[in-house]
Order: sequence, then C-alpha cells, then structure tokens
Amino acid sequence: MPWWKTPNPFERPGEAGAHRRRIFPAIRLRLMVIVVVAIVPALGFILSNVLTAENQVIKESQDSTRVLVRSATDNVDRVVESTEGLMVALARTTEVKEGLANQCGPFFAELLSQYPFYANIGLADNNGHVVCAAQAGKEGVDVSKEPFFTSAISNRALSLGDYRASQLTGLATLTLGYPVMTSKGALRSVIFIELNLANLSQVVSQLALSRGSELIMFDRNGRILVRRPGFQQWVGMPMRYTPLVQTILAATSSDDTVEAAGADDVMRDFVFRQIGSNFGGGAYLAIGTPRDELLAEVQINLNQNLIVLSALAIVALALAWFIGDRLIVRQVNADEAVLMAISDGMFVVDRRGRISLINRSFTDLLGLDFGDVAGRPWTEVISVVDSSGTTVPSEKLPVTYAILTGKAAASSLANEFYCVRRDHGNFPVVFAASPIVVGLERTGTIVVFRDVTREKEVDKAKTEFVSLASHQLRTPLSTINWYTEMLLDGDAGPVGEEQKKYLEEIYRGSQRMVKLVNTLLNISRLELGTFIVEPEPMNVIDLARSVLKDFAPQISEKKLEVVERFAKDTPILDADPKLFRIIVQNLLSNAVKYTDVGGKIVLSIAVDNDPDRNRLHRRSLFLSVTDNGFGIPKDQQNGIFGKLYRADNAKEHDPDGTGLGLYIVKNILTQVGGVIWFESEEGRGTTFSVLLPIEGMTKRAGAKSLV
Amino acid sequence: MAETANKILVVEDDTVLFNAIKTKLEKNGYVVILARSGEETYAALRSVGPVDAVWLDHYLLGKESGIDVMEKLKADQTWKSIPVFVVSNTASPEKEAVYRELGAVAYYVKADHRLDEVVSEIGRYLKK
Repeated sequence: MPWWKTPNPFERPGEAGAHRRRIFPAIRLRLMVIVVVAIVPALGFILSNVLTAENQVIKESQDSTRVLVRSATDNVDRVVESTEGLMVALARTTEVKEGLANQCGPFFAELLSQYPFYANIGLADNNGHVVCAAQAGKEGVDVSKEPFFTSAISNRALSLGDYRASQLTGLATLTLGYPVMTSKGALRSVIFIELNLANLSQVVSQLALSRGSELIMFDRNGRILVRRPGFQQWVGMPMRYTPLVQTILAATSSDDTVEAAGADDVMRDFVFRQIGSNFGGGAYLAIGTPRDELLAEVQINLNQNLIVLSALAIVALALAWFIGDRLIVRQVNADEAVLMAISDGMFVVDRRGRISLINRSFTDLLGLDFGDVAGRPWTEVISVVDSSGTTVPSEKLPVTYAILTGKAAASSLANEFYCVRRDHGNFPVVFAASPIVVGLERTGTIVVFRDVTREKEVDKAKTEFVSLASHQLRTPLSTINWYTEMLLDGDAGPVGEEQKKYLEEIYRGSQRMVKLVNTLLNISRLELGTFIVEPEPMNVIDLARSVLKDFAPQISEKKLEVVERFAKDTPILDADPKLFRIIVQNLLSNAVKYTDVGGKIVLSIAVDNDPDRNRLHRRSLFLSVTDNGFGIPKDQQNGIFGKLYRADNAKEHDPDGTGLGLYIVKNILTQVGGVIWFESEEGRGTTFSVLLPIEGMTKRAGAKSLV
Repeated sequence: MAETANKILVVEDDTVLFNAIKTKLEKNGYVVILARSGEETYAALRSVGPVDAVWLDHYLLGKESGIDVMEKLKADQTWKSIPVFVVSNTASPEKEAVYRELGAVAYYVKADHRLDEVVSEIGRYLKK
C-alpha cells in the first residue's frame, strides 16, 4: 500500500469502533456478578435464620398454648368432677332413691335455685323416661337414646352427653348422667344435670388468650360447646366435618397439635386436649393461635433485614457500576484507545491462542471486524504465505514461538512473509509478538504486525542498485585485472623485474577490490534477506575438509597444527553447501589469521542433544572452531558480530580485513534457524560455536544466491 | 596453420575488453571474429560460416541480451552444435542457471577469473 493510502489515525478522531463494546461491558458485568454472588449467601443466611426463628416462635407459642389448654381442660374437668360429687350425694337422697315425681321435682327445683351454674337437674327411670326435673315440663320425655343415658348405663359411671339446646329454657347445655343403683347393684335410675354452657364458658373466660386466638370446646359430634371469643354466636355450631375436628378426633395420644382453620375459617395452630379423660371423655378443647399473628414479629424482622440487604446490594451494585466505569472501564478505555490508535495492526490472543482483542488497523489491514475474529484461534484468522504463495505453517511464525515459549519474537523483512487479506491480495508483513504478563502469570500474547510494502519497495530499489553497482564496478575491475595480467604475461612485450613488482601490486589491489565488491553484494543480499537457500544432502565433514584444504597454504606457512574432531555419527545434513561453506570458511579464516605461528586450531563437528540449547529443535548439528590465538579483548566482545566491526588487535594483525566475515556468518545463521556464540580470552584464544537444526535448512527460492 | 586454426566468435560490447580478449586468443592461435550485438552475431555466422566456439557476454549492444542470442543459436540446426562459453560480469545465479539450461559449456564471472584461465579452459575443451 503506498503511503498516501495508509489509514490516517487522525482522520477519524474519537471513533472507538466495535472492537471494544463487546469486551468492556463484560468487565462491568463481571464486577456486578461478583456482587450478586456475594449477596446470595447473605440472603440465604437471612432466610434460614427466619425459618429457625419461625420454628422457634411456633414452638414457644405451642408451649404456652399447651399450658393454657391444660389449665382450661382442668377447669372444665373440675366442674365435671364437682358436678359428679353433687350427683353422688343426690343418689343417696331418699327423693332420688324412691324416685317419686311429686317429691323429687320440688327437691330438684330447690337445689337448682342453689346451683344457678346448672340449667336443669332431673331423674330418669331405668327405662329412660324422665321422672322429674327441676324445670317442669320434661316429665315423661324419653331420654333412653341420649348418650348421657346410654353410656351411664353401660359404664355404670358418670358420663358426658353432648350438645343440646333446651326446648324448655332455650339454653345451650351439656348433659351429664349418673346411674343410681339399688343395694343389690341393679340400675334404679339415672340422675342428669344439664350444664349451662354459657356458665361453662365463664369458667374458661379468665384465661388470657393472645390476640386473634380462639378457644373451642366441642362434643363428640363436633358441635361447639364453648367458643371464645363470641360464645353466643358460635355455640352449637356443627364442625364435625372440618379438618380441625376430623384431625382431633382421629389423633393418637401423642399428637396434640394441628394446623387448621378455626370456626371462623382463619388458619391457626391449634393445641388440643380431651376433656374428662378420667371418665371416658366425650368432649375436646382446643386453643388456636393464628400463624400470621405469631409470625408477625419474625416477618417484621425479616422485612427489616431484607430492606437492609437490598440497600446494601444496591449500594454495592452501584459501586461496582461506578468502579467498573470510573476506575476500570475508563482506565482500560484509555489504555485501549492507545492500542486502537496504533497505526500498526494489533491483536491479543489468550493462552490458548484465541483472539481477544484487535485494533482498528487490524480491521483496516485484514478487512475483518472484531465480530469476525473474536474468540477464534489466531491461526484460523491470520494466514501467511511466502513469496511463492505457499502457506507458511504457523509453527514457523514468531507468534507461535512467543505463545509457546513466553519470549518476545519478531520476524523481519527478510522472512518474506505475506499476510493474506480476505478481500483483496496479500501484503508483505512483519510480526512482533510479546507475552503479556500480569503479576507472575502469562495471560496471553500481544502481536503487532505491519504492512511493509513500502519498506519492501525501498529494499528492492536498494537491492537493484547494489546489484547494478556491483556489475558496473566489476567491469572496470575486469579491465584492470585482464590488462595487468596480460602485461605481466608479457603479452604486450617484455616487462622488467621492477615493473613486474609494481604491476603485481596493482593486480593484487584489483583482486582485493573484486573480493570487496562480492562481499558487499553478499551483505546487501543478506540484509535484504533475498539470498537463495538451496538445501541438498550434504556431507558436513567432507565439506569441512575441503575448506581446510583451501587454507592449506596459509596453515603450512604459519606452521599451524590442525586437529579434526569429527563425530562418526554426524548425519548427512540437508543444507545449502554454499552457505555452509561461507560459514566454515569465515570461522577458519579468522582462526588462521588471528593465531600466531605454531599455534593450534581444533575443528569439531558433532550432534548436539543439549535440551537447553535445543528448545525449538530437538537435535542440532554442532560445529566449533577453537584456536589458541590472540583472542578478543573483553571490552570489544559485544560488537564482534557487528558490520565492519574489527577488534583493535585484529586490525593490528591483519590491516586488510573487512570486518564483514562474522557479520555475514551471523546473518546467514539467523536466517536459516541457526545460532552462533563464542568464548574468548585475550592472549589465550577463541572458540566459535555454531548450532544448526538437524533438519537442515529450509529452501528459499526466487532470490539471489551469495557469491 | 590458417586451415587448422580454431575460429572463435567473441560477442562482447565493450571494445576495451574485446581488445584484451582478442589479443589473448590470437596469442593462443585462435582466429577471432567480433560481434557486438545479436544482429552482428547472426550476420557474422552467416558470412563466415560455422565457428568452433562462441564467447558470449550477457549485456550487448542493441535490444538482445546474451540469453536471446543463446536461444537463437540453439534453435538453429546448423548453429546449435557450436559450444558457447558465457563470460560476463553478471554474477546472478539465476542467469547462470538459464545459460546452463540452454546448453552453455561454462559460465565465467569476468572479475573472478584470469583471462588466460578462461582461454586455456576453452582450449582444453576444444582439444577433446
């Protein structure tokens, strides 16, 4: 893309783009979820507390109601017992024994006036016909089917009747019957006393019932005998088929509570007890407390707690919203705006290599929106090809290296990577990938990539210039070479010894010039990464020996001892012999040049399995050149691979050196996946070591080879 | 001697270099014919008849390069058997590969080789 078409970040100020919105509300959302998560247990705690409190209140209420019920039934039982006492006494009177209507009627009427508690006192014969009664008008009535009569006969004891509304008096009553026996034990008659239920109601009225509570006493038929409050309103009301009565009638001895609707249909917790359990029963008493009333206090407490909790939750949520906005979203937005504004393409991947963030230039360069790429593996989104259009496997990209190793990595122009655009064409690209470390944890990797079309163009122009310049430089050098050569050969007539010496100097100078031109050309190709890599199966040891042979004259001239340490298991390497030769040549040349006469050079070749040195490649070819020469001064070791760099003692020993050899070697190795390092001590010697992946070099075509 | 002397057609646009080549070749007993462009090459071959070898530079006068000349030579029935020695200052391996594919006997970078080295290698080839 030409520079005037590159997106101008100032063109669209303030536009945040769609890259962010889907991500950053999530931060806020997460904060709020955390708040909610914190509130839920608090709510659970409050509710479980309420349940406990409710159970506690209900239990306490039942306990106090039980006391009331016991006291009420005891009171009623006392009434029944005292009535029984009266009946026992009556049974001994002559009036009753004889059972004469004209005698017992006035006797009972007199008695009733002394016991206004009762509604009536009477006597029935053993056939169930009323003989006499305090209240006149009942004589002759047949009571043989009444429960008080039948059970008095069958039990031969005091018995409880059931609800009755007296036709004579209009009073609601409960009749008690007592059998009168002859001295021989036969039934003579039955005394009956009708209790005035209104009076019985008074007996239990002194009990303090809590608000909304009800007291019900009912007979075996489920008719209300006493009810508080509102005795008159409810007395005699049939409740037989209500759940309350059904449950109580069916209850076993251990049960004494039931939750049911009372007479007025209000739900209550009832505690009940049988009346007259000493003499066969026949009636029940129950006191019910409305649950609503009971729990009102608990409910109020709960409401208060819920209000406080809600208030807290609202404050916390608001705080989360506010913090999310002010402290995080804004901060992140500000940071993100910086990322967004970077004119290079940028994306962030998580630990699994999935894209979590992109910037505007990413969209501009690749034609992909955040929605297209969010959460997808970057390898699916970013497709890279080489100059021939072949897909570059993602393992060869620095991004993968950075993701796998957690170390920063970058590609260069020389890698010849092209990014495939979705809509139109490819563009040359360089990547720089760095790990994102939060605290001690690596959370992902940020990748910046750049369209290097323009750099490429500049580079191409530079290459072409260098290439043409080299050619142009060579032509006059050829002329000098060849003419000097011919002069020396005597092609233009005989040349004197002195002249011959001069001509030789010219010739040597010209030769050096040619070498320099070739080296400069190599460097330009190396720097541009445009040199060919043509791997072929290659015997590393043979090649090393052939290079050694090239140096034979210098080696013997300096009387150097050369030691070959070649491992027998050295495999055939799939590498470019030209490049390999350049590497070995330069290292050996340095060793020969910078070692004094009579010195020693060790050339080693082996397979290296050291896991520390072979992170990316499991095995490597190891090559080293050791000399006991001049060494590199400590303070100059840092620059040794620099272009045109020469250590001071190197300049001293070989003024003609170019300072380009190690630079070229380092460059070649970098580009074919190898490494080089050295150890050196001034005055003791130097070792240069090289590692090359055992897989060899990767083919690279369509460029220039080194000469 | 004139009948047995090998004829070499030197295709070279630089006359200074040509003079050196001519001198060296003649000193070694060759008959040297000059051509500075493609056109001159074909004209020379037509007029002089078959030569024993062609010494070919890459950059020539005119539109045609040494590669074009090579292609024409190899396409012609009478010319295709003539051995071609490419002697150029272009060190590009791509060009070298093209020449070799077209059937060049050898490829020399001028600045990297002595003149008598090239001449003696041609001589050795022609003696075979």
